[in-house]
Amino acid sequence: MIDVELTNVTKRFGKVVAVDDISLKVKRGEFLTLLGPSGCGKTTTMRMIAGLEKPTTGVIHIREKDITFAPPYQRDASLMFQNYALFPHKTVFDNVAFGLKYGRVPKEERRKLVNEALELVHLPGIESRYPRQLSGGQQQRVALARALVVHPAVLLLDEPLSNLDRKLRERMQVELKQIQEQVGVTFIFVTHDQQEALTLSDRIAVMNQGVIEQMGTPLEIYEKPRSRFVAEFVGQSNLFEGRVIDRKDSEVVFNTTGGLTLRLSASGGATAQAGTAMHLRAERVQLCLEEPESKTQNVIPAVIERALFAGNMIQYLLRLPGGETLLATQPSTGEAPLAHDVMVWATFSPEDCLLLRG
Amino acid sequence: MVTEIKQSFLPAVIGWFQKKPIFRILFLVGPVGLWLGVFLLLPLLALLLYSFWTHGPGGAVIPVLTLENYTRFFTTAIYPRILLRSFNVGLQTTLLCLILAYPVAYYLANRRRDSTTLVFLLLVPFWTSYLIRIFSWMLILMEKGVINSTLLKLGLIDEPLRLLFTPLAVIIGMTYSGLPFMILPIYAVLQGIDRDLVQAAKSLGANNLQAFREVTLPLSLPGVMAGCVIVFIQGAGNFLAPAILGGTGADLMANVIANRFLQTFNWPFGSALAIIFLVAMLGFLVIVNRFIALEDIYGPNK
Repeated sequence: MIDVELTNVTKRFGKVVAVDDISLKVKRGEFLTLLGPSGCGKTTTMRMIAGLEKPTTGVIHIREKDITFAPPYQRDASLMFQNYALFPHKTVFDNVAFGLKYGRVPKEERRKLVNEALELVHLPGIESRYPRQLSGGQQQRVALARALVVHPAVLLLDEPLSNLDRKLRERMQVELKQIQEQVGVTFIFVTHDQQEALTLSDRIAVMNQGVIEQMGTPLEIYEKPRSRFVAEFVGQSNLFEGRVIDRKDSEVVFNTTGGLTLRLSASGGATAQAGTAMHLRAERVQLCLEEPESKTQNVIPAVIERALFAGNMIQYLLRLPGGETLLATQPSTGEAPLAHDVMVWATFSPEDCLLLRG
Repeated sequence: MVTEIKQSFLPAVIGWFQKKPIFRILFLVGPVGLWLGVFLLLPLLALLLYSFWTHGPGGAVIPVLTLENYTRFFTTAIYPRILLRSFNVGLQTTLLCLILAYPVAYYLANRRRDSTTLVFLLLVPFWTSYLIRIFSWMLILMEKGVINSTLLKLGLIDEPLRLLFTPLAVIIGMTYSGLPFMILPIYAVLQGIDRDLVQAAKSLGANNLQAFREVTLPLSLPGVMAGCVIVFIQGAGNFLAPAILGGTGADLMANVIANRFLQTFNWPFGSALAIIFLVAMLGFLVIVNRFIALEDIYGPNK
């Protein structure tokens, strides 16, 4: 069952193409995240689904109904804003009941539904307060309750967690996911925070310059990025420029421009025929003080350039023989980080190397 | 030496101000307080005193206490009637201004492009004196003025309408001069309203009109109130428009007060009229403020 479908949707603002011919389908109850940097078109896409922008070309369906040019109030879509957009002159009750009032829900039923919605977001008993009397986290929950109380086909969330401090944001992520599973409403979530996207989503659409670069589960996006942009935007990456010099049944040999020869597993990420870059996650690199004896791993000598201690892990920037750099994160073991200029051996598996096109 | 003095002098002065909040307050509001004290409060107190003194022959003011000036106001039918008319004309002007100004303010605040230039144009009339602008309305409203000659040429009327020297002319002139004072505060408030609020209302099922009624209108009330108070005060207390555009029956309180001071030279009675008008205006505004408590729009404080 498809709740939301975009077909060849393009949006131009004058000469600027904000969204460039994108198509996507969102299944009922799915948590889809539009992930990308600011200006990538994710918010414009969401606003077109909400009806706050009209597509230049293309068609949008919500539950098989063509709503491309329908006004916002005739769409089965709720919107949750980054700054919550609670009505400052209305009580929490009136805020949450707003959608019910215009959804022609009888007055007697409204109280029951509002109470249910506030219980869902763990905020019972604050109906008579005004938004400015609430904390940021509480406002957030009220906004969620207001958007969900009308039982929309799809809830659109525009970076709803970005105004919260880190601890609260992490707690709200868990809660948001729980609530979404509980009510089973389709969520389309817009964020620039890749960690948030990976944590929450069933599927992620990574957007850049108005197009969807890649669409897939968080694991697919993280493990098998299909473009440089996706590889670099999501997670901590190393990219080596270079070319494939040899290809065997099980192995591909890649020469970096810095003169390193690396082995990639052919079954793993080296399926791309003519890759010009090799991708490696920072946490897949292991550092050893003595040269490991391994025939299967890639082993490169390196010098510590910089070490950043981040509590649960240490992030190293290493300088490689050919002048290239390598980012390696190591779990924190309780010992002091390796010092500047220390010689180490960087080791990583051919399986973790991925060939990228273009 | 000089720099030494500067270095030691400034922090000392600043420290002094920071230590004693009373000095800081005096420094910031002292000058304007002095100005208003000397040129507003003192004359007002003088008026209050005069209003209880006795009027003598030839415009003399005899310092003998009396309530006669006040009893005269309440026992002569004409004066309360003029006070009422002042309020009435002030309210009509305010209402007319509001009806005309709100759509303009709304337009200015919701244009896609920047409205600074247009807002600036609203202030251009202030480059000309108020007196001249009111006089120019004579040219528009008089028997052979712009309106009458146009209507005559179009054949809509057979003989000129009597527009000038009527109460209507006064309201037209005051509405014209009040418009910027109504548009600007409403515009300022409308512009400050978060667009997301209107969009949120629409995404929750309210159509354009309903979203306006539920969100934009209530949130713009502080601006509406500010504009109404300014226009009302200017209207009810207006002197020039009734004096120039109004007929004999269009005098407002300000005209009567001026007349007592400048023509009949009865300063005590004029003072009493001024005090009565001032108290009535203040009382009215206090009642209005009670009735439409602006702080209620955003809920109670804490």
